[in-house]
Amino acid sequence: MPKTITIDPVTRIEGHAKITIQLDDSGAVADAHFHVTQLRGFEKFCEGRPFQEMPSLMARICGICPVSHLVASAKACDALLAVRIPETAAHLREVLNLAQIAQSHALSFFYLSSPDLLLGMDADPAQRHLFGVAQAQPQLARDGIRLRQMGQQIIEMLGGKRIHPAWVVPGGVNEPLTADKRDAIRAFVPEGIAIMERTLAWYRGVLDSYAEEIEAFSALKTLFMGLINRQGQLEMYDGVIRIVDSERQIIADGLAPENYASFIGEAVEKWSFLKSPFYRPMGYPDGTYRVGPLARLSLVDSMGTPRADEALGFFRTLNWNSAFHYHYARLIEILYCFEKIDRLLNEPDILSSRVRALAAPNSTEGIGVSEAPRGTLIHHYTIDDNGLITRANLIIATGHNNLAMDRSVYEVARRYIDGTKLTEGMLNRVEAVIRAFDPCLSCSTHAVGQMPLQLQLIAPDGTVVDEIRR
Amino acid sequence: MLLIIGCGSLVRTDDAVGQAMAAALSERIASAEAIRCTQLTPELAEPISRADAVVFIDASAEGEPGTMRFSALAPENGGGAFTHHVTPASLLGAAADLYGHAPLARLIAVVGWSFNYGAALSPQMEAIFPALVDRAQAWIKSIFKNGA
Repeated sequence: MPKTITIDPVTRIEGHAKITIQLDDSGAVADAHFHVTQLRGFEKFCEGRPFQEMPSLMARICGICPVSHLVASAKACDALLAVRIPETAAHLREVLNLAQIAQSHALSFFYLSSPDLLLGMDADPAQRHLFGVAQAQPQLARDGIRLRQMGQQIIEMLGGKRIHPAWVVPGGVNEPLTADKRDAIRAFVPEGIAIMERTLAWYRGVLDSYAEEIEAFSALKTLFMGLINRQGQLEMYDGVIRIVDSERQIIADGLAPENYASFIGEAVEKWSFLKSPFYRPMGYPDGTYRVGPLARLSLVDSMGTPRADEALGFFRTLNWNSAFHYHYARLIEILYCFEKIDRLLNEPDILSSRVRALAAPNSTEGIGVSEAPRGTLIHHYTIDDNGLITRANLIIATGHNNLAMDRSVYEVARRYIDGTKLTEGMLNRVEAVIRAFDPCLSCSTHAVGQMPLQLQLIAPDGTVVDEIRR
Repeated sequence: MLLIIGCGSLVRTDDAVGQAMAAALSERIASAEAIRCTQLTPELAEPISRADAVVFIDASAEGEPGTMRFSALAPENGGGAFTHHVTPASLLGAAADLYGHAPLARLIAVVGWSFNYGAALSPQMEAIFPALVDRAQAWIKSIFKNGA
């Protein structure tokens, strides 16, 4: 008798989602889906607004990664102005973006996922949170908190406030960097690097404990997409798009981000409010791809900074198809962020007062693309002759991963779920594969941690066969 | 050092009263430092651990509007703490676990009239705000002077 298991809400992610698992007559998993159950509507309600408002409006999409939306939106507005912004402004925007990636990755790894990694997938859910980590391994918790502090303080120093800073504007940034702030930010770098080297060493030590999950999370094979620079190195602010297959073979390279619509299609599925982008030349759903840390590190030739490149060497020995290794990739990227921030702040013109190009709109269409913590972020606007938005299309990093998350849930459920009897550990592993992607479904207004998790095994006649609550 | 943490949304009218009171009190009390935030986050455990005493101020929707409740806080461990929801007591627990010190702590809850969208306090809250600050300052002085 077929049955359905529902995990609602999925916990320790940013936003609202649920998972359903359909069982066949024998209790085996027949299918599973990842449902995003919230609707934001930003693409519609910004229509009619002056384009200059877009960076600030779009930053409100998210309370964790507002800087990414700020940057991608400002780049789209740069294109509407048809200006090339001063190089110093581009470097300063990149520093801001890197600081945010570092603090967002720290939140994902230390706050949301380290409880699973330190305490175990089968640990008591009441202890699986950061403060549980604090009691079990205080140094790990202190390091996570410190990384978040440093990232947020850098954002505040540059942008004026930690959340929703208004410093990034169409044409550049609205204020140059001072020597005092540059020195204060650079002073964070040695501590950030030391924390990351300590954390990477610890993480490599616990990886063997998760050999089964690593293998289970590798069943899905997809393409990978991300930005690279001209040297084939990791690029978080600008660059061109590369796509590789599951064997890391390049299938498309040097793609201009502004031509995204020619190679990315957008499908809609009835089970989710999140759209399902796919690589257009391979069709739907064969063109399923992943973005974010795992994808970026799988497709680059090198990181471009010495310590991160050294850490990449170990990553290359891992099975990059396993979503579990999003975690390790995320840690390497934090290390990269601190190294790259230091390099950018050492640029000779970083204190230049020329940080903004002023212009009226010179184009009716603008596309801005950058890398966000969770992957490639695309903002696409069109305006009328008065500079008012007539259309906005957003492909947010988590959206790129939608199909891959959906199929990953199925693969992991198939591996772990025994429909005759549910256990907390089974369900946590299904959630953990989603958590590895670090989805940001909407972080600005929600309180996931306050909500209970209820999972029911229901027969077609409505009878509750089994139930677990958190 | 007395740390005053004022918490609440700045675009939900009276929900902003915690932040407003933290700013006002830190200007009046020489030994006080204020942290104003939209929500409590785990990062606050570190500055809390460095304080001699801490006062949390937040808006409340329960009770007679315009009234204030004063209460003591004790450290707690854990309790479903994630990114968006951390309690003052769990922050005190984390301060002790991670940094070795949980200071004397108190909570002030200010009951608001309105929590609708709006970037200013409600007119009723605005009118009594100076008196609320006076009362909170006197209470803080009496509590921490006695070391209770």
